[in-house]
Amino acid sequence: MRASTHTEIYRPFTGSLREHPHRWLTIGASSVRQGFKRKLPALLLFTPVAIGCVIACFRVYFRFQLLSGELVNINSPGAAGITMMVTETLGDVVANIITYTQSMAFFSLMIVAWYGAGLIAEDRRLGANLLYFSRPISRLDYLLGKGSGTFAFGFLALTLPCLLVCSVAAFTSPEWSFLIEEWPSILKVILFSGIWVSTITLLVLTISSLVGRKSHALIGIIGTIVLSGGVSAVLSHLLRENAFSLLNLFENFERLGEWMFDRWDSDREVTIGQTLAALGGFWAICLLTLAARVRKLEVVA
Amino acid sequence: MLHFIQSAWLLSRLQMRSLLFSRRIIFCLLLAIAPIVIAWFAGAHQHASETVPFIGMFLVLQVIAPLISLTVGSSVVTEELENRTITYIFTRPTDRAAFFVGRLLASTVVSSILIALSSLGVIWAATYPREGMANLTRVRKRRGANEMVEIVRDLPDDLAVGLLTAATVAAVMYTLISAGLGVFFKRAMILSLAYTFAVEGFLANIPGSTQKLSVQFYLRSLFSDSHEMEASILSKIPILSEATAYTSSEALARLGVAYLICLLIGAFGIRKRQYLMTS
Amino acid sequence: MKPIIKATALSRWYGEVIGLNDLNVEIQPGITGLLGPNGAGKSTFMKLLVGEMRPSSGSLEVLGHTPFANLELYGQLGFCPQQDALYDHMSGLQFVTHCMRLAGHNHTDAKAAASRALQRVNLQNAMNRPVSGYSKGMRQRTKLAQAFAHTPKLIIADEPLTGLDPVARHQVLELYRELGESGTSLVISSHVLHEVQSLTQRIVLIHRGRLLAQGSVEDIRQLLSSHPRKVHLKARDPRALARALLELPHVNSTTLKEDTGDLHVETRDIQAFHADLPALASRTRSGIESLESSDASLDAVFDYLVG
Repeated sequence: MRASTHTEIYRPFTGSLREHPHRWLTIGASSVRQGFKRKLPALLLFTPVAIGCVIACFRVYFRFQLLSGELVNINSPGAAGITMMVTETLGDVVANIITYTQSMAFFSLMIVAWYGAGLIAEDRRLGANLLYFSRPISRLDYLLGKGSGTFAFGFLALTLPCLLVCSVAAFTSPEWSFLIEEWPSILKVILFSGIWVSTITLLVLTISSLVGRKSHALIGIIGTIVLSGGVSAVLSHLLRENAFSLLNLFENFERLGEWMFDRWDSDREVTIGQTLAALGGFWAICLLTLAARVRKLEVVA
Repeated sequence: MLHFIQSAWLLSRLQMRSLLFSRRIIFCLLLAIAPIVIAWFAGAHQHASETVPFIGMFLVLQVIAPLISLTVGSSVVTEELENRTITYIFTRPTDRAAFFVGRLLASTVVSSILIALSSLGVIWAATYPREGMANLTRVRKRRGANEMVEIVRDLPDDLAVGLLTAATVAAVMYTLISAGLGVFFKRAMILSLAYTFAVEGFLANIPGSTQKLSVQFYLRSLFSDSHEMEASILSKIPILSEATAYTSSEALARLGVAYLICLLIGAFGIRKRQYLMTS
Repeated sequence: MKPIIKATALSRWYGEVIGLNDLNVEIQPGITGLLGPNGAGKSTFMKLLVGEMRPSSGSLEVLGHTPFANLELYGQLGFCPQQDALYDHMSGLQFVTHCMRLAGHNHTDAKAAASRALQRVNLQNAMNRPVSGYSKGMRQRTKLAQAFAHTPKLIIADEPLTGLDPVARHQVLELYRELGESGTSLVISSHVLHEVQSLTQRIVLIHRGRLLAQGSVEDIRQLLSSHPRKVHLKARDPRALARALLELPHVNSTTLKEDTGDLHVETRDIQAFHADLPALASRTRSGIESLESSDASLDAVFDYLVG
């Protein structure tokens, strides 16, 4: 056997380690990566969102195509009537986008709940909090990391499809009229979807921090939504007092959407101030609970 | 047979103790108390014969009973699997079916008691006599000044019995469904949730014969058959006016048959199925 | 003698991952060590033995029974699982009593047997405390107690020495020896090779789901003819001895450590070496002080086979 030599050269490290300023981004990114490792839940949960997005895009596209006369020969008899009928059926583009955003709220809740429910609960069960808090990670880093990961899923479920629909509207509108005239609506759609996703992210993480397993967290989330909705409906009916609808998260966002998109129904008994106060109270409860639970996680670690 | 019963009883006691000292029970207690609190507040403004059916039908039977039952029922098999203590039971000369039946019995007793107490609490809260303004309600009139009338706190006995029966049967059925799903599937809780609120919600609220495929349909039959529907608020809800296809005894009999079939499927299923635990 | 365990073309896979691959093995009554590196298939084999799983193909007989959900077998079988899972709200005594009652014993007998078993594993002072307060070693011993409390014919223990301090390990090994001497058969898997070797000479070696070797350590070593045997000698004049040994045809090499005077010899034929050594030592007057065959141990066999 011929002898051979193998030389390895080691040089001492003389530089300095740069601190990553945004540690929470690492936690967030890993949550997203981990979530998408399993393909089947992603397929099942994102398919309705994708289908809804495609339908909304087509509606918007057809609306603009009809208006511009490209689909129907406007000189043919009856064309004007057909065009008017169809455009009325399809509705206003902005209204379509708003309806799409609100109708996808439920699916985005399912997605955020599925991916976010185990983020804190499973950490506690597996003792991963010991690993996190033995690193130079603050509670805020931890919360922001988990929150950003969960928010990312909601963003993909709601905000991104809404942006896609708005993009289709912008591209298909004649001379970019949608973009020029309706840019406030686009911003409002982004803001509205962002507020919804943030709210459900908070809800999901709060419940995840209170229980010990992902499945228990999912029950808690669905239970909270169903129970608050049920209690709100029962109390509103029995006490003839619509203020109890403030307990229902979906109804609150319906009112918020109406207000933001200037479609506020003046006959409503519940004011927008009350709605915002209810949402603010919800946020405060969630944030306080999260702060207390994460502190407990850190102390245990 | 004797050893089967003894083993089932032993495992039932263990499950009972485990449930009563777990965090699940706190969640279930909070759920059970919620309708009582609502009935208390509602009872200050409405007749008992309106409050009890409404809360009973829409909150207790459709939300509280399923949530409590699936929280408790999904622990029958899944808890032992997740804790990995199922090995000790499955390597003993004990029929696996005894494990299922014993633990199901304990879970059913706990969920039934909680939901029955919740229903009784609703009845009590709606009918509890109060003094002063709490005994009066303002009736809004179209023309003329609003007037104050006394809130009726009487509740027909059959309405109370109907709610109690329907709630207890709901507990029994939903606990079995959750436990049965736990025999065959890993994520029993999630599947039970999906079944209870998605599948049942869909089947039970679509007009037509498909309602008969849901447990809710029979629970409504039990409840609505117990009192005069016409006099009740429930008659104003279209979907419920179709719900009285069966009498109480018919509904109970059909549910009983379904229960037996599901129980046998669960018992035989657990005998045949392999449970892989990750180390 | 009829084997207590007989596996014929036994295979088990988890999707695309093969746990056991065409395993053919017969285990005789007595104490048998089941060895293999991590992921070898030991736990899979043990789960099949206790009927936790069904084989994907092939057949398996334990005490003449097919294991899966076989109530008749479970009365004669005790299992100490690998996972650290107990009913935390119970005391050790309650837990073992509960297991005994599930085996069909009445409360009095079950409690008495449980108490005896826990005393045997030195938990007599802690048996009435909740298991949640036990140390890892105490939890392990509780698991062991429930495995033999009902005096089974066969005990299957998956890494039973895990978490035990050296004193507890020694005590448990003693316990296993006593059980073996009383007629109970044991199949023990472990990574602590020298302790398994101290308990039994019968080993079954599994690697990547396949049977690698079975038999006594010495028998297996004999089979490894491709590996020269290593012998360690201490002598007054190791140089002279080394010179003489190199003349022998079956000696591959000798290595002399100057500072300690240790002489390591590699030979292709250990029998011939032992036959030639006395004459050689007498001729060279090297004064052999000690002789040791350093690779006859289980560790060495394990390393050679598993690599």
